[in-house]
Amino acid sequence: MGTMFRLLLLAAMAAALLTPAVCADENEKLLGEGNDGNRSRPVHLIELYDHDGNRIRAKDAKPRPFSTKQTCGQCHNYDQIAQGWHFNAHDPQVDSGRPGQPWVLTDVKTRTQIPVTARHWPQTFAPEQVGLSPWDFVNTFFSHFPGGSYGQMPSADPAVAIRKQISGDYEINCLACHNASPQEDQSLAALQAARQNFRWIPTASSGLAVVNGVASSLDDFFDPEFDKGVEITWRTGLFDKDDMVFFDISSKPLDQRCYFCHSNIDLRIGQEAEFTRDDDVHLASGLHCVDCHRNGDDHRINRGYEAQGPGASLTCEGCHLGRDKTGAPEDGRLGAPRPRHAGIPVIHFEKLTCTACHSATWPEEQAGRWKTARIHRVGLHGKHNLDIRQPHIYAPVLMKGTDGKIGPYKLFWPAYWALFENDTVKPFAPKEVLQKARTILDKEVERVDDWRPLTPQEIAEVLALLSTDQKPAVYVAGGKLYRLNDAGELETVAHPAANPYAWPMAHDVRPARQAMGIRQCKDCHTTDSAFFFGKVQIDTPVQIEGGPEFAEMVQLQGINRLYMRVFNFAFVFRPMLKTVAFAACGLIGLVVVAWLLKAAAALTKAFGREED
Amino acid sequence: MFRWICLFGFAAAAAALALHHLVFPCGYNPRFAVRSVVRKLVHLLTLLFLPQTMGWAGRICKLAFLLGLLCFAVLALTGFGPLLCGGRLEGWLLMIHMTAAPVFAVCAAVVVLLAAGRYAFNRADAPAILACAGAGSGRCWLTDSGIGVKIGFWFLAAAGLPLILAPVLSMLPWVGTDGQTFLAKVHQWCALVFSLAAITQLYMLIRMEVLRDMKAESQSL
Repeated sequence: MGTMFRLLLLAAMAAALLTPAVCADENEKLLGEGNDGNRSRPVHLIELYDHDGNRIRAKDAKPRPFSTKQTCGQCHNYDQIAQGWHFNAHDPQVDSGRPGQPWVLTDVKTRTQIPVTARHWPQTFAPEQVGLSPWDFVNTFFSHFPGGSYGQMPSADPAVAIRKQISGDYEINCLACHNASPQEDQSLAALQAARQNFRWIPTASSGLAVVNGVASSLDDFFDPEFDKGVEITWRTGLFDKDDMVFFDISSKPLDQRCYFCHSNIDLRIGQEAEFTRDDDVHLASGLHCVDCHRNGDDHRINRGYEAQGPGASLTCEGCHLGRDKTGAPEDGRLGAPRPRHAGIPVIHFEKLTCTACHSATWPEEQAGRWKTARIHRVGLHGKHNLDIRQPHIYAPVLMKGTDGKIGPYKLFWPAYWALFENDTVKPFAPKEVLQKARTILDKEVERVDDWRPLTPQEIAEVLALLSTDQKPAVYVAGGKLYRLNDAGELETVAHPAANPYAWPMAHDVRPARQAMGIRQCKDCHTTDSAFFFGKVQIDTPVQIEGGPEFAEMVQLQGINRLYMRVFNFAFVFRPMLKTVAFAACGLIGLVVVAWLLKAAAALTKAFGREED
Repeated sequence: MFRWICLFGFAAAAAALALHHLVFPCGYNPRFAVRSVVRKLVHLLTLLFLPQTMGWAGRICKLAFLLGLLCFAVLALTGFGPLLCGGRLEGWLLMIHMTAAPVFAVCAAVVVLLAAGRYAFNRADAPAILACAGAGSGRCWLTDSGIGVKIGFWFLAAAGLPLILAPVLSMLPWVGTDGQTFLAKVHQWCALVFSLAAITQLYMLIRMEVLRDMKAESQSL
């Protein structure tokens, strides 16, 4: 009893002594956390660690890929970074903010293109709603996926769990952004992801090693101890004598790193003329993406639109005009010039975003087709360079956003099969549709405008196959919702789910002298101006008599078309109005002055008489 | 803020004119009998007609005045209407406003040009004021002597200048955002002042016409 008591006492004392130390460790900042204010660049000569936290050395018998979570996590708070904007899309607690570019699930056979994201953006669907597990998500959108998020989620499905054991987690690839070395190759990262070599992605893409092997082709019973799997060969001279490795790390990612995922390609400009395109005027004048799109340790990147938060002043208005007029001046940040906006009535600033006049390409009679790096997998090199055509993205479309202002947008027209319940649509996973209607949909037909065309009869047949007793099936495409009426005939109705999915287009910002309005009112206020009456093709696989249909921008701006035409027509009389007004004022002024002079003369005369 | 000032301004003007009319009544007694009201309305209507005795300049002046008055009503309704209802001037109302504006400017110029002589201050104004201000006359020296109308005319002519110029200047490609904001404010405030002055002027003009007609009627009897 006495011995037991002494042991317990000893344990309690040890616990009491150790507890503060443990707490202190938990609260202690990691080496790379925070910022002491010194603006010099820390040298990253560091140790490498594998996914189990074991040190990697040059002379390891079986070289293992390094883990960013373990290696970068030695000094940086990986879990905190994982809450950053690029990695937190799966988290329903995160404020989704302004709608942005979604992932797009496309399927040629089922004529499907669905905006997918777990962010709460209207008209989008979470991956699970379209039948994508985290594993499916990563394997579908692997090429420009930044890692973390769905890439690190465990799976309850044993088959997937086995594959994950082989492929490893798709950790956040810190180097994709922060590696300033010209050897960083995101195209190679995409290739590794396509091979399900998730664990090897940073090792391969950073150029530190050559990675051979394809994880997706390895057997489920693959044993890394005995079987030949994915192999790596470190670059010669990579490790120094202490097995430390130098990384050319930049806390501010290079623009080229951002561009891999955030490039937009105007298809009206051929590849041979791509060199004629200018960069965003901010980049051309020496700024970098991250000068505005900043973040702290938490990696919650400032998205650049008017919002609250520490980076809220890093917006167009914040830098060029200054938001808070009462405190210390904010405008002129980063050398931003103050615009005069001469001759532009102030109502424009209430009705339009800054980008409406200053960003994207100059609007034309018909919105052009664009590609984005993420949606069309642009940026993969060599034989992996794919010419993905769909979804057809149209831009710049000047339409009204959720903020009630007109601005330039990119948009595409969603197309998918769904169940219709309580006036809402619940999309089918493409594979489910194909399973039920393969005989109708999986026919080799000549493509029309990249689509496999679909006839109304085929839609009706598929809808009949997909409908259940309680819930009718619908097909959403080309801004319409197709459904079968009580007589079993196909009918189309308008529905918000069929509206185009659009997201703002903030870049490239053009120079002020190329902004709309530089040639005064007539840039927009004419009866055929592209700003209001430019057309956007209503993209659909459904064959319509008379060819493709178009929507006018004025329609998407929520403005009465007749009103806008009359209003714009009125600008013909604007010069006359000015002339008449000036003439009238001149005449009134002359009369007033003449009678004032006369009055003065009379007074002078009267006073003169009195003196006489 | 401006909305509340407008509301208060128009209410105060209406109240002041009503009070003035009660303190210094003019027209036919009894004032609120049906016959009298109809007679007043008919008389007001006849004020719009062009008298046979009028010369061409007078006719043009009166037509310009009447058209200008109509435009003023349209401009005031479209300008202050949405504002007083908590909205703003935009859409179709803005277009109507912009259409009436140049017509109003031309009419104002014509009226000022042709009527300036009539509203010039002269020696005869002093006896008229004194006559009105005489004890027991029952007349207001400011409104009924003709001096008020003259002051009103020249005030409106002067106030019309910034009122018309401000929005036109803002259409020129020289004025920046700060200038645009300033000119918009100038237009707003001038419009308020001009409207209140114009309503008062209209009241005084009607009063003068009624008094003149009564005087002519009593002389003929």
